Order: sequence, then C-alpha cells, then structure tokens
Amino acid sequence: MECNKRKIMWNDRFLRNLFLVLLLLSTNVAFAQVNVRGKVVDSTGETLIGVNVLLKGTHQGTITDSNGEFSVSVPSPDASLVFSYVGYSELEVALEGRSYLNITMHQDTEELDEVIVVGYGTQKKVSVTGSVSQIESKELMQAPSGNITSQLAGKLPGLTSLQTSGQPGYDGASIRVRGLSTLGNSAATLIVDGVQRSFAQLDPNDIDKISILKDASAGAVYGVQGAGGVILVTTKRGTIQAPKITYTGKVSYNQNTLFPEFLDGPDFIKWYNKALEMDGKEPIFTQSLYEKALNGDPEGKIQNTNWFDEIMKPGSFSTHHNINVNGGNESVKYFLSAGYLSQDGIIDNFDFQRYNVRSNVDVNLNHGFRLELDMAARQEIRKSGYFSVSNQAWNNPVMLASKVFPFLPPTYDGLPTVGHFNKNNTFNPVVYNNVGYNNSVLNILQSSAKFAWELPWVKGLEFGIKMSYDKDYTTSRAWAAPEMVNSYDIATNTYTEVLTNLSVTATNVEAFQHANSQFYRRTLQPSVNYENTFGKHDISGLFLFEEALQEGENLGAVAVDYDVTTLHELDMGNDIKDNNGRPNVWGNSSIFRRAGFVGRINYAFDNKYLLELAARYDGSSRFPPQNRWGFFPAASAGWRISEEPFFGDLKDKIANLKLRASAGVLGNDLNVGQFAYLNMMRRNPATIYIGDKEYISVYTAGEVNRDITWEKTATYNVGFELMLDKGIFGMEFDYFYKHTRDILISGGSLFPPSLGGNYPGTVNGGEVENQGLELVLTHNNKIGEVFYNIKGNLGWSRNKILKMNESPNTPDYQKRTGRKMGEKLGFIAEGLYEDEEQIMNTPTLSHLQKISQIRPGDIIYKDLNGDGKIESAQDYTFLGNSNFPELMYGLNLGASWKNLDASIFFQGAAIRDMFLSGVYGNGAVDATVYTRPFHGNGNSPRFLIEDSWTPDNKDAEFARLTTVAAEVGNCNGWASSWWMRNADYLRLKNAQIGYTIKNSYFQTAGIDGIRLSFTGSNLFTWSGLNKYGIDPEAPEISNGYYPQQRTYEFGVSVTF
Amino acid sequence: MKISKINKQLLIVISIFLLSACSEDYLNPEPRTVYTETEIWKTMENTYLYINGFYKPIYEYGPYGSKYAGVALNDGFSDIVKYNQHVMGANGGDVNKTILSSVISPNNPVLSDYSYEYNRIRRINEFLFGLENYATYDEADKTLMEAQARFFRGFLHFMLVRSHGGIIIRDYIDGPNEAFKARSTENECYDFITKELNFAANNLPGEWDKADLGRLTRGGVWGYKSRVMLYAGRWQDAVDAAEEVIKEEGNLYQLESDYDKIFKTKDSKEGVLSYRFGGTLGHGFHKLYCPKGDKSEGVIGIAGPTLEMVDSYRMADGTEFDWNKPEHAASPYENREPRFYASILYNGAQWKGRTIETFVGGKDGFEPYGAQQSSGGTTTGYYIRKMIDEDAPLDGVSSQTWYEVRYAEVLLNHAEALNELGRGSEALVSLNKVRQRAKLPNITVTDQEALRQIIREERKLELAFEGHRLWDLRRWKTAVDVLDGKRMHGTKITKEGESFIYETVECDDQNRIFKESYYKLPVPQSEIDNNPLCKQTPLW
Repeated sequence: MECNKRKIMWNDRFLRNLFLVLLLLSTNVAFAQVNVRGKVVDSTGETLIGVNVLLKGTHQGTITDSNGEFSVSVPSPDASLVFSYVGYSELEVALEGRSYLNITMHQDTEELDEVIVVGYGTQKKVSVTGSVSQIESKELMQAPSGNITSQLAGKLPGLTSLQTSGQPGYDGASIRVRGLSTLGNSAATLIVDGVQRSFAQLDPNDIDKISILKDASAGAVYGVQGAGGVILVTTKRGTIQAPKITYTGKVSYNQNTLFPEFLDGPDFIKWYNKALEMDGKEPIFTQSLYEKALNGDPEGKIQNTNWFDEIMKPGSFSTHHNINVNGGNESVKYFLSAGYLSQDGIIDNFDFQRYNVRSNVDVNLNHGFRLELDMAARQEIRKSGYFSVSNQAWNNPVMLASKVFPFLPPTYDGLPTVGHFNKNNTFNPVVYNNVGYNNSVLNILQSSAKFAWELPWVKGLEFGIKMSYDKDYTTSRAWAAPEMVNSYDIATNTYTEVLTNLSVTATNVEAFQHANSQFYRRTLQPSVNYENTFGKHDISGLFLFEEALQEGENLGAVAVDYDVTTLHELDMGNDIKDNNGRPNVWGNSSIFRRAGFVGRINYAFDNKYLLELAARYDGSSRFPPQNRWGFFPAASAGWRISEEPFFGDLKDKIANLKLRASAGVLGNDLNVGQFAYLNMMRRNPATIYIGDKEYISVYTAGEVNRDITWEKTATYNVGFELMLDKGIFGMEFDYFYKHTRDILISGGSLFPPSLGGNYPGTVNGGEVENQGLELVLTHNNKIGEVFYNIKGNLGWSRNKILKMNESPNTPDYQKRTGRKMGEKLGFIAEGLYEDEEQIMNTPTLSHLQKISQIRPGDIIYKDLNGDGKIESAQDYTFLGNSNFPELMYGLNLGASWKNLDASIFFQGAAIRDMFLSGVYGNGAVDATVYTRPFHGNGNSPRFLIEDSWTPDNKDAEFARLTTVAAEVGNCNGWASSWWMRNADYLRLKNAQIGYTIKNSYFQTAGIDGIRLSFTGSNLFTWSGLNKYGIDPEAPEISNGYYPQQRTYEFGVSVTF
Repeated sequence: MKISKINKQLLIVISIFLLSACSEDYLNPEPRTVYTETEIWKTMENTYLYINGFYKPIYEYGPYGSKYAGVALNDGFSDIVKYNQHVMGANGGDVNKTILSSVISPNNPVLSDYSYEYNRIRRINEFLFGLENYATYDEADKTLMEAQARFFRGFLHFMLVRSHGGIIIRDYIDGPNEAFKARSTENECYDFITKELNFAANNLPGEWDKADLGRLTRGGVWGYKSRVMLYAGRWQDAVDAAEEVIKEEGNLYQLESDYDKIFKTKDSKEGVLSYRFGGTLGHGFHKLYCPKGDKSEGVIGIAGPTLEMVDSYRMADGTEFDWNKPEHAASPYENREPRFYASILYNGAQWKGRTIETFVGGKDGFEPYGAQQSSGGTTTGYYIRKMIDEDAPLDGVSSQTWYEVRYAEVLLNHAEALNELGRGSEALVSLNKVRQRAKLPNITVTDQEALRQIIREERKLELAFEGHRLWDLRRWKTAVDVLDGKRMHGTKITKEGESFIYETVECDDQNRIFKESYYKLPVPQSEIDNNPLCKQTPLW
C-alpha cells in the first residue's frame, strides 16, 4: 500500500510538473510548517554565497545570501536539506529537529571519488589498476550537439581521431584507441550499457560517462574483441530525488571551417589561355569573352559565377531539443529522455534528423531482487542528393563545381548551363545535386532487461541475468531522373538544350532504388558478482557468461524508366533490368554468433596493495572448429604509496599516489570475414548457351585459410597517478607497449601460382608493435570567487611493422617492414626543371619523352637506384607520415564565477603529413584538383594557379602551369614529396560561456534554474594548410568532399 | 529448509548458466548467402552448373574473348594486325608496347595467363576429386562428366605449354603441402595432354540432343587434338586425329560453301569446336573493331590489318598481287580472291549500306601511327571485316558463334602433318578442299619444302585474325625472321578529285622486337620465388 501511495504521488507530481513545463506557470504549493535558518562556509571558513539549498525530494528551497546565510521553510523537523554549489561536493543534511544549521562544504575532489566504468562493472578510480580514461557528461555538454565521436577528439588521452567529413549524419570521426596496432582494422569495440552497440548517435544529454579501456587488464574481459581497446558508454540512470525535469534547447549556425578559393570567370579565362600558351597551343578563349566575364554580357550568355557558391550556402542551421526527467525513490528510479536533432546541410538536399527516446528504469523488488529495464528507440533520417558528396564518389557535386566554366551564368534561358571543353559533358553541379535524392531512414530499438538477485544469506553475492535485444532497420530510397540543361559551345557562343547524362542507367532514364536492410542482435549475460571486506582484505569477483547472436538481411531493387515521374515506388517503373539485362534485385542474409566466459578477481589489502586478475575464454563462429575458442588472460597490480605509513605527513599534501602495472593478451577478430574458413561457391551470371537456353555457372573461390585465427596482442602498461590535496595538481602517466602477432596478411604471394588458389589467401603472419604514452595534468583552484580548472592531456603512439608480406623484389628503401604504418611513398622531388638543357642532362620518367612531355617547370625526381631513368617501381621511397596522427593533445580551461562559467578547449594533432595529390586505397596515385592545373579540364584553386611555375615565376611553389592531363604525359601527377605538406594542426575546438540564473522568482514558478550558453566549435584552426583554404582533416583524395564545419550554438537549459 | 531453498535457487541459476553454455553447434551455424563446395554434389543440375564454368576458355583465347593484353586479337602481336593505340592501355596500347619494346619479363609475362590457367585447373582437379569421392550418379553420367572436365584440363595445360614450353603438371588437388613441384619436359606435358584429350574423345558422344547442343563432342576433341599435335610435332597423331573428323565429312562436318558465310552462321557444320552465344550472353567484338565511321563518337576501330596481310590475298585467278604491276596498283582492291572481300574493309568497300572511306580526311579516317591517342581510326588504311557481326547493335552484344576449331583448320592441320611426314600428295587433297572453297586453282606441288611454304601461306589467309598467326610463327620458329627488327606497313590513301593516290607507309614508329627467348616465355617470378623446384625458362 505504501508503495502504491508513493506511486500515485509520483504520478501526480510528474503530471503537475509537466504542466508547469508547458505553461511556465507557478502553481507550486508550499507545505511550510517549520522555519530553518543557517549559514554555509567552506573548509577555510569563508562564507559561500549563492549556495543552492533545497528541501530533499522537492524543488522547494532557496539560495544563500551575501553573508552565506539562508532561511527556508520545511514541512517537518525530520526533513533533510540538500546543499549544492559549483566546485563543491553536494551535501545532504538531516535536520533532526534543529532549526539552525552551521554547514561546512568541501571542495569537490571528484578525481578521487570518481567512479570509473569498467568492463561489466564499475570501480572506484583509486582502486583501478588497469589503464582507463573517462569523461563525464558535463564535459561532453561543452561541445555543440551532433555526432559524439567528433567531440571526443582531444578529450580522452589515448584516443586518436580523424574527422574527414562535415556532412550531417556522416560527420563522425574515425577513432582509434592508442593508435594503430594491426595492419588491418584496429577499431575499438563499442559498448553501450554493457551491450555491443554504436554510440555516435546517442543524445549527448543521455550520456553519463564515456570511458575507454586501453590496456590488457581493462580489456581482458572483452577477450577476442579487446585488442583495439574498448569504448564504454553508460547512459544516465535515475537518482533518488523528486522528479527533476530538464529541458535543453539549442540552435546553431554552421559554416565551413575552410574551403579553397577557386578562380573566378575572368581569371580562369586569363590563366587557361596562359597555360595553353605554355603548352605551345593557341588560346581558346577570346578577349571578348574575357571582357564579358569581367564586365557582364548584355546577352546574358556570359557571367562571372562561383559554382561553389551555387551549391554551398554561406551557412546552415541546426536545432536540438531534449527533455528529460530524472527521479525516483527507494523503490523505483527512472531516467526518461526524449530528444530531437535537426541538422541542415550547407549543400542543398543534405540534412540529418534524429529522434531519440530513452527510458532507464530501476526497480527494487522484495527479497533482494532488483530489476533494470532499459528501452531506447532512435530514428536517424539522412537525406542527400542522388550523388553522394564522398570524396571518392563519381559525379560528386562538389567536384563538379570545379568542372563547369566559371564564366557561365548559373542558368540561361531558364535552364541550368553546362560548359566544358568536351562537348558531350553535361556536368552541372547544381543539376547533379538536384536530379534526385538518396535518403535513408534508420530505426533502432535497443532494449535490455536485467534481473539481479542479491542473496540475502551471503553478503556481497549477487546473481544477475541480463537479456538484450537490439534491432536496426534501414530503409533507403534513391531517385535519379535526368534533367534538361543548356550546353554552351565556346566556338559558336551558342547554347543547345540537351538532356543531362547521369550515367545511372544505360539509356539515361529515371531510376529508383528501394532497399531495406535489417539486423538484430540478441545478447544473454548471466553473471555472478561477489564483493566483500574481511578486515583489511577487500575481495571482489565476477563470473559471467555472454552469448550473442546476430542475424541480418538485405533486400532491394532498382526500377527504371518511369512515366509518372512523381510517384517513386518500385511498381511504378517500367522495368527492373540492370544495364546487363538482368533483374536488378538483391537479397541476402548473414548470421554470426559469439560466446564467452568471463572471470575477474580483485583483491586489495589495506587499500594499499591492489591486484586484479581477469580473463575471458572466448568463442566465435568466424573461426573453424579447431580454432573456435581462445583464452585471453591479464593481470595487473597497483600500489598506493600514499597509503603507506612512511608517507606520514606528506599525506596532507598528497591525496593519492599510485603506481600500477599490467600485462596480458587480447584478441582481434575484425579482420576475419564470416565463414572465411570454408571454400565458397561463387556464381557467374550467364556463362554458356546450351540448346536454346543460357545457363549460369558456379565455381569454387579457392584461397581458403582453413586454419584462420584471430590476431593476438600482448599489452604491457605501467603508469602512475598523483593527486595533490584538493585537486590543486593532478598527474597521470601511462606508458604502453603492444605487440600484435598473427595479423592477417595476404598469403597469395607466399605460394606458387601453379597451385591455382588452393592455398590460404590470407595467413596469420604479420607482426606489428606499437608503443606510446599518455599524460594528463590537472589543476583545480579557486581565486576569490573564481573557480577554475585546467586539464591538459596528450597521447602519443608510434607503431612499427615487424613482419608483413613483401615481395623479395621490392627494393629495401621501399620495404614497409621496419617502418610505421601508412608512411607515404613517392618520388623524392628535387626541384623544378629550369630549362630544357637541364632536362636533357637529368634522368626522367622512362615512359615520357624529354622536351615534348617533360618540360621546364616540371618536377625533377631523384633517381634513387641510379639507373638513369625514373620509374615508380625503383625510385619511390618513403617521404612522410600517415595522415592519421601519431600525437593528439587537448587542453581544457574552465572557470566559473558566481553564476557565470566559461570553458575553452584546444585540440591538436601532430606528426602527420598530407598529400595534396591523392593515393587511393588500391595504391593508385593520381593528381587532384589541388595539384594539377585545370584538373579534368575544369577550374582550379587560386593558390595553385597563381603560384604555378611559369617563365615569369620560376620560384614557384607548384609545378608547371599546363593544360595537359597526366595520362598523356604530364610528369607531375605522381606521388612525390613536392605535393606533401605537414598536416599538424591546433584547433580552438570548443569555447563556451554559460550563465545560470537562479532566483527566487523563478523558483516560486517551479523553475530550479535556467542556464544560457553560447558555444562555438572549430572556431580557429592553426595549420600549414590554412593558406590553401584546406582543412587539415580534409581527406587526402580531394575529389570534392563535404567540408568540416564551424558551429556557433546558443543553448537554453531549464530545470524544473 | 532454508538451506534447501538456497540450493534450489542456486540450482536454477546454475541451470541457466549451463543451458546457455551452449553446445558446439551454437557456434557452428549454417552459412548464409554463401555456399560451400558441398553444394556441387547435391544434385546433377548443380554439378552441371559447375561444369558450365569449364567451357569459357573455348572462346576466351580467340577474338571474341580478350585473353592477352586485354584485347581480342592475338594477331596484333604478329605481322598481320596492327593496333592503333600508341600509349599504354587496354585498347591495344599494351600490344604495341610489347611488340616495340622489351617489356616481357618474369614480372610481366605478357602472352601468358599463368594464374588464370592454373586457377581453372585447380577447379577441375577439385571437381574430379569430388566426382570420385562424393558424386552418387550412374557410372555413365560420371564418365561423361569426367570426359568434359579432362578435356579442359588438357586444354589449359596446352595453353601453358604453348606459352612456356614444359610446365608444372597439376593433375591432382595440390595444396600448400604440394607447393613444390618441378616442371615437366615439353614432351612429358604433351604425353599428359594427349592422355587427357584421348580420354575425352573416347568417352564423349559424336553429337548431343538438341537440348544439349553446344556441349563438347568427340569430333571437337579430335579436331582440337589435330592442332595440338602440330605444336608437339607428333605428325602421325595429328593426321590420325584429323582423320577422325574428316571421316564425318558430309555428315557432322562440312565446309561452308561460301567463306563469307562462316562467321555469319550460328550453328555451321564448319564448326568443329564451337562456343555458342544467345539470350543475354554475347560478345562485343563488333563494337571496338568496326570502322570508325560507324559511330560518331567513342572508341571504335581500334585495330586494322597490316598491308603485309592485305597484300597476301591472291588475285582471283590465284596469282600474286603486286603493287609494281600498274594495273594492280591502279585499282588494288579489284579482282581479288573471295577471302579478301570477306575479311578486309578497304577504301571503297560496301559496308552497312555505305562506302568505306579510309582516305585521309575520310569518314573512316586515316591517321598515321602515333598521331591519335585513343579514339580509333586506322593507321594501316584497312579494317577487319571478318567475324564482325554487322547486324549486332553498337550498344549491345553480338551472339555470333565462335568456332575455335573450324573444319577448314582440321583440313589444313591434316595437310601440314601429312606433308611433314613426306606424304605430300595425300596432303594436297585436304589443302585443295580449302582452296576450292576460295575458288582458287588446285595446288599440284609435292616437293616437301615448297608445299610447306604453300600450306603455311594458306593457313595465314584462311585463318586470318582467328588468333593462329603468332602461335604458328612461334611453332614454325619463323617469328624472329618475320618480326624481329621489322616494321609493318599500311596504305595512306589521298583523294584527288575522284581518284585516289596510294602510298605505302610504315605503321610502326620503331623496329619490332622478337627475340629467340620469346619462343619459350618466362614463368612468373612468384612461381620461382615460392617453388624452389621450379626453374626459370632458359634464356630468362
């Protein structure tokens, strides 16, 4: 009955408060009976002004005045008051009949009391012996809304990130824990609330903590998935308090951080003619054209147009709303949240919307039983034009903006214009962006129920069983229909109306694709936890079994040729044949299972000597039966020197000094495909015509590794933690060494081709080592009424390939073995040819003719093997670092004064290089729009053209100005040091100013507080690439990409 | 009471553990979407789908495939065809790079498709292993399957021997443990190939039901063997094999009455070993090789016959063509033998309802070699007519059947082998059958050397562009004489008023290279590196 009554009250209050939210009206009723007064001081005796004093379980309360005093009415002399103040630990005081209270609040030394989320549990930070970094929601909220992965850069030491796109919905960063330790996929395992799930699109308001498990000790419980590190995210849960409703609303304005300036119409004409002149050709553009581009054309045929401005808006808006409720009592605690995010793109048709709903409920039942029920649903709606703005995508609108003549008007005679030297070209970036759409809707349901039973008879023993069911369902719909454009002919100065060729269908008709994919994952985790203290011995243990099953399927089709072009459904198309005449439909399914036994024992003696043993026995259906199960053990130990008696008086100054060390072995199965150990049948379409029928054929693929196994990473870690009293100075340091073996490398080149593929296509033969360090320095202090904190962190990791598969014919200076992964390969550039005589006397590219194809202003390459000719097979060598940074660092400065708070966060990366020319994934090298003047006969960035080599500008930064494309004899398109640039950078990543309004007027209105904030992100960037207008995180293969965004955000947060 | 309650509850918890601590089966799910090799043996239909995949090599080495350097015409490596492209690339640039510079090396084994061939051989070996161990069909069905598989195992080994000389014989499912194996001698290889072809021929039907038309036949194997034995120099075996086909003349096999009709007929009796197309299945030879004037844009007309080939065609009366004879030079394309008109598109020829213009500035363009980049246009002044499907759409595929072995070839194989055995007069019978179809006078010469030259010349004309020329020059060991240090030619035609001026021009901008070492090509370096028992081909 008691319980029921409470529930009713709860419902009542909840509804009432909800009502308040909606009306912003005060109808709060005080139950005042007893008046309580008091004074609040800090540990030095100084009065504290503006301390929040609340009657526990209500919104009712006040703040301390300028003397640190307060007066508040309470319903009963048995009530409790809660004191809270920024920078101080929250304090709960029971009145116990007193009517005057002397309160001393202590500064928050959260670093010591901090609870760290570890695999399948939590530990107090002081007793953690593994290497774990963690950030809390507060820090996350200092960044604008959006993809969480991109906000982690520089926040967590040991986390390396690279964000190559700013496209809404695709603006996540690729993140790696402690850099790269394998030749293949090094991705971290992502766990949300104990279950494998992605976290990038959670509502940041829902997140409580994010921690990364970096060493073997922390990761051992994840076994075969632990080697790449583990990122654990926990969402908020209810606390025992009156329902606290928080509404947060944010609106932000986004614009490109950087984007190169391209030539305008008149300059394009001028420079293109100049380039032709240098190629020994006649100018194509007339003076009159130039003048029309410069001064305008009465006929309207010519105009100076910036095509990038035609597809990119100067800025775009995003909004984010979240409302959540946190509350509970002894029986039920709940956190409920609903969020909506809308991001408009800087390019038309590109946007992203996300809906998040979450309900985390904890229920205490009788007899030591406890229930956790978590449900989260999410919808992600991504919209884009039919052609993607991925930097490797063909017909990419951003790339196309450089392909159209910049002296054409955006439209002529009502139709978009097209103009290019190749008359058949129908590229117009706006048209390509508008011919259709490619939209997807991802619906996600994530649910978990955990039933726990604390055995009443055995102290500290708890059984639990957790069951999770997650389902992803994606529907994508894409439409493309060619449109009419007006094609300009330079020779005749006329326009002709033509249909854009989209190259989507063979006959250039409408095409509509509709595809669904669904995926579910079921996880079962029975567990036993034990925790107890016997005198000076603290013992805890975990034993857990986990099995996970995932199945997925895809279905899709493309229909073409629509008569009713407004109805985009598959059954409205006239045909579903592809370009080869076969039905354009697909369907397939997948299955994958895992199982694992996890054990962990923690032992602490006298809080001084800490020991942890952890292991997982892990099985996965990716491996053949004889290799299916693996054992992954780890051990770690810690010594809290500061707890030793000999530490004596120092204890007052040094709150914590701990040494720790760990070692263990983890696995990585990411680089093994499903059923890779079986010889698979492949299907060839129509192969043979027998009688009067065509038949397909099937064949065995071969190249099977029947003994395939996981990669193993041995990890060693040593570190120490130091915290001076009151957090005045804190330091954490970690050094690690990781050695990974059994890395899958291609086996093909280890076996003679005469076996015809009856050999393992991959073998577990590679070895990589990776070592590095992480350092965190913190400083918290108060000067007068200003609290401030500084937190700097740095993570560095350097890998080395110890063993991989390389052809014995590779020259030593091209062998990757012994070098860092991702090092850039190319010619060493020694300058630019000054004259023809120098060309005749220098080794040049063997496939090109001197003078006719290699000319003054072209790049001089070093003939490394001295054979008198330049060839990539012999003369390439290592030039520089990968673009994935080796060093990442962050510096956060925060301060608060009364109700005002501010934070500034700098983030940087170093030891990385970038090619302006691109090297594709398959090793192919090509010039880009940043390195070849008039790439693809299109427009060029101003920096390239204006500082290209010409006889008048021999001291140029870039090679010869020319219109000649690489494949026909431009010698400058090759990868070379000429095009490499240092890509170190430092960003003012986030800056925030917040103001919290707390006054009694609002409080009588039922509003506990209002917080206003202004946040900016990517406000400034310092990098050597700024002068080109290129963001340092831009992809190297810059065929046009969605630029990184700078964001200005205004936020309001109201708490009821 | 209390204890037992705990026990009971513990029991429940532990049983949950045990239940979920699943059996091995849990981690051994049936594969999805992908299928393993065991599928092949579940039904005979599945087995035949696997066998279907063996057949493609029948056409892939000919003009309807693109086996070497990514182009259709192997003859581009010989004296009779010239590709126009002069920069590297698949449209013939790689062919020109090969013939004009020394690019062949163990790391770049042009004119060999080593990995492809061994990959196919591996599939056949897996098949034969499965047939023996898993198949549950009748012996007769199994034998028929084995015969088809073993023909292709022989075929593929022959393709390797043709390029490299003696090679590693892979006649079992050799895996990583059998990686090291030495090359057999060329003679041993031919013994193996003979064994495979004989098994196939002895176990295949002479013809199939209509529903199975297109499958391998006994005659197809004998016809193919008559060719292989010429390469082996086993003249009597070549004669015997050819005669197995010749005895079916008038019944299963027959020369088409008109040379022009062969590659316009889908199931011609001239076809001995054929690969048929139909439905969506086809080839695109007609698209890249038809004259430039057929299409206003895109790459087209990428190769043409050399003047050396064109001049080889006889006058209609069997006499030689000669530019030095004024009446020949004045109208060089008149009064030639029928195979000329069936095979060559020349200036003034009628084609698809129009007149071919290969004069300078004409619709079909003449451009000197090296002038153009990749858009096509003839550098010799000629295009190929033979084998081009005039009716196939230029944006679609052609379903013209490929005749890998034609009856005419079997006759020429027969004649050549008999002459080598010194039985010249018997050789004349088969040779003259081929000449009679070309409406040329019979040959009566029986002197072995003279007849040898005549037969070789007849082979060049009869089998032009079908992918024989380079390989014939290699087996005759005449390739160095014919190709090395030579340049091929074309005809530059200039229109003056209504008349034409013919000028012989070089269509190579440098001397061709064909070294003695090219007769036996190197095996890939990766074979040498990973198989210590395999020695590199001598001279490499």
